[in-house]
Amino acid sequence: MKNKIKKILAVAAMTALVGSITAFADTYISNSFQDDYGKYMFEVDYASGMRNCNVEAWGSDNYQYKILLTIYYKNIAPVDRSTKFESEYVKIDNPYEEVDDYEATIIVREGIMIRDMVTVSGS
Amino acid sequence: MKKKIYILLIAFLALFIIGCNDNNIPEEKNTQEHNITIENPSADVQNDKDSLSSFYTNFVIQDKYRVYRIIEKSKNMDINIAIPDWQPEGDAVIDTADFVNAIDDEMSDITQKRIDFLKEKLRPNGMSKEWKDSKEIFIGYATPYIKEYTSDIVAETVNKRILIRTKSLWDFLLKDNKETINKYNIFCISINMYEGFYHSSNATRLLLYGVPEETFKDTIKIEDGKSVRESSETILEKYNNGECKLDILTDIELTKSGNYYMDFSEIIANNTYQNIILKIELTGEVTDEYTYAWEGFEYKTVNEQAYQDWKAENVDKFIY
Repeated sequence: MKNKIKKILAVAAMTALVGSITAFADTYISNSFQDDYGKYMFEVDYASGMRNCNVEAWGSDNYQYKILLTIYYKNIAPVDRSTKFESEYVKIDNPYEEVDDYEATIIVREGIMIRDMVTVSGS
Repeated sequence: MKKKIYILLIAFLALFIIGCNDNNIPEEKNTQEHNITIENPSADVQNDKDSLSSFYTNFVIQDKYRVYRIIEKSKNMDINIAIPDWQPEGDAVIDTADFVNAIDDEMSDITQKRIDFLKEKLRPNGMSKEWKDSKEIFIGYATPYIKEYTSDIVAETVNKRILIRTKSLWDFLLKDNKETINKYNIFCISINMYEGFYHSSNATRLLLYGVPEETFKDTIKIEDGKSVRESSETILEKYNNGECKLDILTDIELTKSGNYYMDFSEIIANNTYQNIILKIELTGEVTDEYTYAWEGFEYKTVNEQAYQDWKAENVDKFIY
């Protein structure tokens, strides 16, 4: 029994090691919005033929942020995900999937005015 | 010895689990929502897309204005925004309504469709049709303040009216952990100054700056262990203070609404610049009632001959 546990732990450790080596930032974009209306970050990570995507926008609670994310899958039609306008901070994480590319549009609004809108993409 | 091996294995497992948590869990953090809605939800009509009303029908026409009623219940806000019901003849161009509608969560999806439509409509022949080889660049607009239609809330936004905008036209990113510049051959700017409505003498002054290699290197800084580029405003501020070198590529005043093209193919072929900065300014008398809209679209060439043929037929639309 003890030997079995040892083997399982050894395999798990090897998987962890290999996983930590193959995963790295495939695309990373970090910038400020126009005129100090906050910041945004877009990151796509690749591991074992799959990609995840993390998009964040943040700044003052006087401004509202919204993310629209288009997911371009390998074999099926693109899928859109979005947040509502939220104050101070907004985020979308898409898990590792068989995706070719991600495209995000990030909007910053101050009351009834759109202050900036950026489109970023990566694979 | 056995104990050490177990500790090591458990440490590896812990590292693995931490790594998974960092990347795999879908998460949408909810903070306070701000629900602004525009009355009369728009029907997305599919035919004759050149017409603005193919995308937006959520307004009423009054005194030659398209009047949008905007409500935010949590703040007891109920206001109107009136946009001149005018579009230039010829090509479809950007409209203030494209940005007014974007403030509504539901309407922002339709706004995106309209922007995508413009991006396709203005794509020159010979450009790549891959979605990732083109992109839109938000530049700016002004909300008109017309006393008969609006409230103090709109007056406040007018006070923060921005008449000058700067944008970096090429993307700087980390690709496969290497610093990369994503360059686009063609830039199209769509301008609407509503000159047929206002009969004013306002103009859009457009400047292009080339960023040489040496200046470009100085604009890269490290944040959280990763390289990021300084904003275009910061670079232009340094240039105006004599702290860095930029080359002015063009300085032109545009007096008519329309779609204007710029071709950077030669600059890319010769690797002359590592970034292009756009500065755009509304000149002339700008009253509170005035509105304007600017939007940019970028493309990459895949068929040089098809592009050159198209360019020869549209040479009057090129300003660089």
